[in-house]
Amino acid sequence: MSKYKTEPMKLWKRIKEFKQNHFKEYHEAHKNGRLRFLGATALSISQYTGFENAVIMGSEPFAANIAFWKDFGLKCMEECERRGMTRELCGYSKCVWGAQFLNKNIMPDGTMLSEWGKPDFASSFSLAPCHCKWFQILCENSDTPMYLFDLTKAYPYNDENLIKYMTGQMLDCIEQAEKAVGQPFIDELFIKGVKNEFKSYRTWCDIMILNQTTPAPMDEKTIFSFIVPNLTKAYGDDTVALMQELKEEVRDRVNRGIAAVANEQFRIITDAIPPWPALELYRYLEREYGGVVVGSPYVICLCGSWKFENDEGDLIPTPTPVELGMPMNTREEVARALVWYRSHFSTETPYNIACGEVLHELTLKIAKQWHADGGMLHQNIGCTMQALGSMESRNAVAEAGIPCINYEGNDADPREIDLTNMKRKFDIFFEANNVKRLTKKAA
Amino acid sequence: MFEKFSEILTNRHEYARDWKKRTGGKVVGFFCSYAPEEPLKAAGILPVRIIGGHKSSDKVAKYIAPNIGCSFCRDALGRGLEGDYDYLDGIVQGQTCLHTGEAFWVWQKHIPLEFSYFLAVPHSTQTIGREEYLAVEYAKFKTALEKWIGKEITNEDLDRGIESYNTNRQLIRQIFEYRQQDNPLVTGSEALDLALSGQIMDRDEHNAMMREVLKKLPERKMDRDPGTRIMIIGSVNTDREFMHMVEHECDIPATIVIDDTCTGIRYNFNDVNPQEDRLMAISLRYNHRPPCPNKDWPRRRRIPFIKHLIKAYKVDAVILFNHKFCQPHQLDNAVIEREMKAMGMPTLTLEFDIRIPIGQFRTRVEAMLETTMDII
Repeated sequence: MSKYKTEPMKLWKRIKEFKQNHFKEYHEAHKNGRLRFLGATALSISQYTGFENAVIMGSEPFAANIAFWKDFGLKCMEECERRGMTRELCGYSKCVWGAQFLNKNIMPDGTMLSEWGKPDFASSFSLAPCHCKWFQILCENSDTPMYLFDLTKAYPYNDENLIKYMTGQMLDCIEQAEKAVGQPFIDELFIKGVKNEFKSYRTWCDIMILNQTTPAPMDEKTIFSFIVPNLTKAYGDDTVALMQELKEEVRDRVNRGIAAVANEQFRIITDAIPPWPALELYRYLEREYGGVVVGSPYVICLCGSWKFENDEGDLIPTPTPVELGMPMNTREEVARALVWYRSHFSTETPYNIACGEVLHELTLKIAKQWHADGGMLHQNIGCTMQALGSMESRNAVAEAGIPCINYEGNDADPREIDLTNMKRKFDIFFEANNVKRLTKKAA
Repeated sequence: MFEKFSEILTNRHEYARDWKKRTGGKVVGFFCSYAPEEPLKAAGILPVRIIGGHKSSDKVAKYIAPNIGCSFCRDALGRGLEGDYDYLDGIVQGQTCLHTGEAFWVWQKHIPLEFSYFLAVPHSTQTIGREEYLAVEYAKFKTALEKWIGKEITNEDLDRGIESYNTNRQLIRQIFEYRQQDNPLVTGSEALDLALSGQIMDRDEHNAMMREVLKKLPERKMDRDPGTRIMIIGSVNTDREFMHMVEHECDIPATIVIDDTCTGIRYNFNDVNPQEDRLMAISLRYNHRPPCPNKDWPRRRRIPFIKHLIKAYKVDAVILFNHKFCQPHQLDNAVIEREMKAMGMPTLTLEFDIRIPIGQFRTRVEAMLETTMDII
């Protein structure tokens, strides 16, 4: 008999449809007389909401979708390597470059497209320096106008020099985009979009906090699907509503004691982008050991904004500029508020190596606050930014008395994922921590 | 003529220890050439570039995975963890790549020092507002230094720092110009030792040594066939064994006449133009210097710079290198290689590790040199 009650997420189908529809909207934008914006989500993509007919796509979900469909992803990798790109380069970059070189793409439901999806305007942030090199090459190859943001040091947050610098760039980006696409930027739409982003992100924080409950109402593999709306359309009214519904559903599961994994017996944190081509490893942990991944700096911060309470205490949601009553009447005020909010621990800023002083502390806080019994941190060879800090995060968690291992993988390249060895490493980890195997091991 | 530079570089740790003893000053290590040395000099501090020793250390793998961390940074960190830099009083990182950043954080945590500072240098040196941003970050850095050393760094101090470094870069460029001659009066190996020794020495002492060289250099007689004129392009080059092999051990003669590296001309190409706001003047110099790949976007400024050097130094062939797992240079090298090939320039790409396979590299360099000769 199972330890906890479980049931599927009610919103599951809607979330999948949301993603499919948004990709469809992006790819069909030109047919419908609309503009395509492709932007790295590292700081925000909501600055493009000021363009009335914009369809905005987050470049990381765009890349992750290619990586998930590993046969196509592999073709993209190989096409890049034929053109002199080495095996060690960023996995997401190679997915999108490859799609561009092949002039093909794939929809979330696996439907192949005969065009890669050239944007009318593109932007990226130097979260990791290669994040901008990614777009430099992409835009050079496709003659796409681009704006590349310099996000320097994201910690300590609330740094006036950084906020001023980033706000200046955002205002400049808007002007450049206006010239490039030949359409006016409407401040009212921008203000609305940014305010919506604040709501969507704030709600995400509440949802993640609900996952501190035992049993966990959501497992990380499921959460991966729920991050998409915030990542790629946080500015939308529909996303605000969807996040609110999700929060209600998760709260309801908590109230009724509904678990994501019926036999939850070992709570795990991870740290980075998962190996998209091998997500079955999550189900392996659940099925074999009742191991449920309850969160990570990746999913928790990716679609929310967080800070340390009193700069030293627990990780708490950053109050939104609206909650704090910041002025948001002009383009400049809104850009500033957006930069302020997102330059906390938001999206992937904690991984920025400029934040090395706090990444490991943040990982440890998550392990403690989400009541982890152990950590399995992904040494993501496809993302230097995430892989570099991972060992010190492991050390921080392990030294605090929470058993923790690194496992090697790749967010995009299936050739670098050794599932057999991963499972073997997990087996040993569980055995060493006296976690009972729930199934009979195959002979 | 350049033996003294080579000797100091070889015995760099002894030099720094001796400098401390002689002056009673503090020594600060820096990882990347984007750390501004002028304010350190102004504070009476000796800035020393942290470089590896081309030796493996099993102490690094606990902190940085060997299958992702750049070989140069792992080597440098290894030397720190092994105690080679036990004379340092502080460390500074001028933000560049992820790898040097991680080496800095690990060093800060596991090799405690009196002073450590991560300086948020813009990733791009083309963005709007980057000069003002960096000047403000320099002001914060200066305040932190003042707090540490317990005294104010005045404008006069900054002027002394700026003057010393400007002079240093100018003298290096003057010496490098002799490499433009048909029979270069300075080899690539000598040029590396000259420039790299500057990054670990008191610049005033380095300047005095260079002035002595410049007195004799015009009369120098080279008794070697310069052979193929090579340009080396990459990141931080400290591989003296490789340089020596190319110029002295290959069966086909060759001379490395110029580089685009941060231990060569890229670091020494431009000066601080004095202005009332000293920190802004320094900010302009670091923002406008020839960029490394990390800072070369959205427009590509490296390729025109490389083409300029190819012309000025009459380059016949190019060696592109990157350190193992140095993604920024790998990203640029694919594009630069394409550009070089389009120019008809023989190009060889090599990957350096903590130790290089010198025999294999010799074969590959010789094969490339053969393509530059009429005998094929």
